[in-house]
Formats: sequence, C-alpha cells, structure tokens
Amino acid sequence: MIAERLNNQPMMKQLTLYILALFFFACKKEGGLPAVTGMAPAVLHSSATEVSLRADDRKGLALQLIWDEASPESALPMAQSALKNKVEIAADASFAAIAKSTEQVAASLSYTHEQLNSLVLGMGFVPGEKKNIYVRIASRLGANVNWVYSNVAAVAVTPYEPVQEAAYLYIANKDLTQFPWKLCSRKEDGFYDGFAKLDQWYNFYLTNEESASAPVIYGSYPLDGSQYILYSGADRWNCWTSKGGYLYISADVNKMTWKETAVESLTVAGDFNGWSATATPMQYDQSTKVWKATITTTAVEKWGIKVLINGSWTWFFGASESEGSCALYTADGNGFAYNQVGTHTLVLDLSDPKAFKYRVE
Amino acid sequence: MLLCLIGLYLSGCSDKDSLGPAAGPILLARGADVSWITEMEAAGVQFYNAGGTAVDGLKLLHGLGMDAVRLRVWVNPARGWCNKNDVLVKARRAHHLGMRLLIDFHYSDTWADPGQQSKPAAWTGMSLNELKSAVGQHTQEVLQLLKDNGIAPEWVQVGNETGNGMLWDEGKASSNMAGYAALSNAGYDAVKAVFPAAKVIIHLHNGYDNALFRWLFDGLKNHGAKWDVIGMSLYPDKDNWQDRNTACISNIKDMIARYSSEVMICEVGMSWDEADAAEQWLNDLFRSVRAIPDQKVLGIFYWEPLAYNGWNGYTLGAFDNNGRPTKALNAFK
Repeated sequence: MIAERLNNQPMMKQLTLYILALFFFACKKEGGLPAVTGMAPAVLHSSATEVSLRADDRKGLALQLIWDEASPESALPMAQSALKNKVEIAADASFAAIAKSTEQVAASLSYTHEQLNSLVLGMGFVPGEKKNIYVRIASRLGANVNWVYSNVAAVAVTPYEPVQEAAYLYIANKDLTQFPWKLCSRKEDGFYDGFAKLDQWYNFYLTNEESASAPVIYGSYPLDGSQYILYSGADRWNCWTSKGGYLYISADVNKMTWKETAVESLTVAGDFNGWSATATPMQYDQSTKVWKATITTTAVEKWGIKVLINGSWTWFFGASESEGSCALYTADGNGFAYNQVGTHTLVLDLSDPKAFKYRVE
Repeated sequence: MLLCLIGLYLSGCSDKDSLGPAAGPILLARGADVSWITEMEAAGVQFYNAGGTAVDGLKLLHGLGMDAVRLRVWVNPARGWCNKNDVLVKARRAHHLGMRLLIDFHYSDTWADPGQQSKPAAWTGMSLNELKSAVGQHTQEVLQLLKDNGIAPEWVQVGNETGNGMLWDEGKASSNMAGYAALSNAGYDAVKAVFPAAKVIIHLHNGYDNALFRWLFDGLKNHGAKWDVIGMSLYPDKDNWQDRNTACISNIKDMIARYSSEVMICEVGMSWDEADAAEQWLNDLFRSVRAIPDQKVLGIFYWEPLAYNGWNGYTLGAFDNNGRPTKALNAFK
C-alpha cells in the first residue's frame, strides 16, 4: 500500500547547523533571537507504487502523496507559513528536468484520475504505456535558505487517451470498414489536420467515430466541382484525393471545406548540418508508418533541430511543450530538443496528429 | 535574508498560530471531523487563517486549539474518498501534528445515519454470520493498516449514528436487536484484536433523546453487546440550544449511571452563519461536560467544520464563506 521510504534521513545536521548559524548571525543584529532546531527533509509516502488511470472513473481518487514534514522549533512560536514545501514531479529519477513544481500548504496532495492523467500527458506520457513519475518534496524555512529534499517516491502511471468530443476525424475507406488514418482538432476548434499516405484517387469519408454508424459522416457536396466542400447529408458523395502519396490533409468543419497538400520531403536541419534545408532528408518507412533519418552530431544541438516540410522554414516541426513531441509550425518558431551526440536515428511518427512524436534510436 | 528571518519572527508572535504540538495533560478531547479535507483540497478548496493566509486546514484547526480528529471509513466508496488509503493519509497528517484520532466505521459504501444503513455492495446477499465475518475483517484490515504505519486511534466507533442499528436489515435494531448486537460485537472484537487499548464507541444521533438511548442500549445490553463508550450527536439551532444542552447533559448523566459507560460527543454542529450562538452553545456545552465528575465525558468533536461556501450543500460547518474559521471554534481553545 504505502511505498517504503526509499531514503530515510532523520536529521540533516549540516543544515541545522547552517540555520543555527543564520540565526546566530541574526541575533547579533536583533538581540536575543532564539535558534531554530528540528529542520529536516520531509519524509514522503505514496498511496500506490503503480496506478492505471481510468477514463470511466475520471473524478475518482487515483493517487495520494503525503509527507511528514519537519517540525522546526524555537523558543518563540513560529508562523505556520514559515515552512514552505513544494511538490516536485519529474519523469527522471535524477530530477534533471522538473515537469511540475507546486507550492503546497497542505501536507498531502490527492489526484483524481483526470487530474493525474492530464499531468502525465503534459509530461509526454503515451496513453496505454506505463511509465514512472518521480516525486519529491522540497522544503525550506525562509526564502534565502537552500531547499532540502525528501526521499523520492516512484509511481508507475499508465494514462488513458483523454476523452474529448470530436477530437478526431477518421479517414474511412469508401465502405466505411477501414479507418487507416485520422485528423485531429488539437485546439478543439473545428479545424482538423493530420498526415496520411493514400493512393491517388483514393475514395474516402471523414467520420467522427471508427464505425460505419458514426453519428457524423462527411463526404463531399454532390455536385461536380465540389469535391473540397464537406457535406454530411445522406446524398453526399465520397471525397477523393487527386494527388496521392504522403499528404497533409486538413478539414475545417466551420467552413465545411477540406484541403490536401503533398508532402514532397521532410528534411532535418540543425547546427549539425549548418541548418541546411536539403542535406538531411528523412525516409518514409511504409511498414511502421514512421519517418527516419540518420544524424551525426558532435555536440548537443544548442537551438534544437527542425524538421522542414517541403524545405520550408515556415512549415516545419519544432518545439512543443511536451517531452517526446514536436509541434507543427506555420510561421517561424524554435526547434525541438535534440541532446544526443554521435550518430543516431531520428524517428518521427506523425500517425496520431494529437501529438506528433519523435524519438532517437 | 535578515529581513526575511526577522519577518518570520514578527509574523510568529501569535501563540494561536504555532507549529508546536499542544502541551499539557491529556484531558477532554477537543476535536473535529475532517474527513472531507483531502477531497476538498483536490477540488481546489483552500483554508485561510484569520490573517487571510492560505494554510493547511488541519494545522489551522490544530493551531486553534483542537487536539483530535475524527475520520469516517467507507468500505468501497464510489469515488474512493474515505476508503482506507484516504483515511490513512488524513490519519498520518493528524498523527504527525500530534493529534489524537477517532476512527468512525460506517460499514457502508456511503453515508450511514438514521435514514439509511445500507450494506456495502460487496456484502449484499450475505448471511448474518457472513456479515459478522465481513465486519470483523474490514475493521481489522483498516486498523491494521494504521498500526502498520505507526498510528494508533484512541477511540473507534463501530457504526455511525446507529440509533436503529446498522447493516440493514440483518442489523436493524427495531426488528433484529440480536442481529445488531452480534454485528456490533464483531466490530468490537476486531478493534480489540488490533488495538486492545482503544475504546470502542457505539454512536447514536439526537444526544438529547434519552428515550432513544435507553431503548437502544437496554436492547443491546440484553443481547450481550459490548461497548466502552456511548457516543452521541447534537445539532441544535440558535433558538433551542439551551434546552438541547440541558437534555443532553441529563442524558449523559443517565448513560454514565445506567451503564457505567463513558461518553463521547462525537458530532456537533450549528449553522455557520450563527457563529455567535454557536460559540455560546459550545462554551456552555464544554462547561457542562467538564463539570461532570471523573472525566466521564471524553471529548467533543465538531463535524466537518472545514466545510464552507456550499461544499456538498453542507451549511453547519464553522468556516465563513471566505474560508476563515468562525468564532464558534473559540470554544475549542
């Protein structure tokens, strides 16, 4: 039930001495201020070491963190607010990158399934895939004193695909029996886009569920020359692509239109190739539906890297808020992190437009 | 830095705002039921001291003079709040502050009170003997979890407001007093198996209603039920609290004399916006129970004082709509 203390340090003598010294120093100026004792790292406990988050219990209690905080004492009473605690959460045990840091007045923190799901998806966790979060409590007494850290609690969390109404439109074949690709409205504003590898003259519909009985099925307007106009009436025609190949497809259900743009190339640019728009093309792997490129770097990419579409500096994949994801830019923007040094393979997976994922192998 | 440390001391001048545990002999428990606190915190509710600073709600109550908490336990509640792990979180927080602990078993997945004593879903269809085992197992499991974490409750309630028994219908007192006594004893024995020193409470509503208490405890006694403490709730209003206090004290004295029991006032509450009346009422109640000889009254617990601003529709808390404690809690100093 309760995770064992990973690390139990009853007292940090050095720190106590440090604080004693601070107060001694203060005494000289103020006269008679007493010393503080009992300042120590908090001891953190977690209600679980593994949590499978559930979309059907979104408001239910999923995880609780509780810490026994230091009980500093002095001859004079101290304000309750003197001791500050913050909860730090990271995806790595070394806390090299802290994903979430929250100052906390209560001595425990409870997450519902929905809250924890949102937190870990923001950290780049993948729905259905179990991954550890690492939690510690940072405490300090006074603003200019160093933080002291509790033991670290590791919790394996498996998030779920967040349920959002009409987050996706699925590209369905003409029989509505296969749904090989999907578009996503990442801002939930009715603008959907995504990437698909389709044969020329492929006939399709856009549906809001992967089902022949989906509540909404868009085709094209049943009039010659109207194939880019979306229409969901029973007399709809199917849509078709005139281009074929690897395509960027967008659909705007506010304007009831859709568009297709051929993706002629994806190229990687960064310090390693002098920001060349052409030197490092990616290859599409038909079997795994991902793009790959081999990159050799001699140093960490200071500005990150970009993946340009059709060689464009204003249509590329760059920095995203979530680890392991990159974002699609249509104007200038920053590159996404690439910290490996040496020769590696960059893998770009555009199959789920909810988040464009990349990894380095 | 110096300014900060000086500020720290200046801000710490109030002795009502202290981090240290309460000193002095262990006497009448001055407690609060804080079972909602983790759920409220997860919903973003904050608690403020009189100066308007957001603080830990439990520390705030402790700083106001409260030295005990009461925590309800549900068997398998729909959303998890008040299950055994959630109880442990709150118990650990209270324990760490040096506060005393009353554990309140509802033996239900949801509220158990005079209006409903529904069996946990997992216990439906069980025979009386199976229910006795289930009560024993659940009680031991929860208490053992606390014990494994170094936390010992001073008091344990078997059933909540069981004026007409619990685990209906097998334990419905009006139709099956023997069944209720047997189920209650299963809880009693389980408590003692884990914590021999804990005092077991049987808790009824309407602490002013001597007839109810005599009917139920006579019935339990006739069927061999065991208990250490008779618990009661008391929720008067601003117009009847004097009469209710008088009747309640009279009932308490009768319970002490008739059953040689100790008494715990497990729940009290009055509308949060009648703080003046609430303060008078509670001061009077504390004075009266302290006047009862031999410390036969063990304590008084305010029920969910932290509930405010329409939380779950509950209006008998002791915090105002800005999340600050009302003067009703002065009585707990």
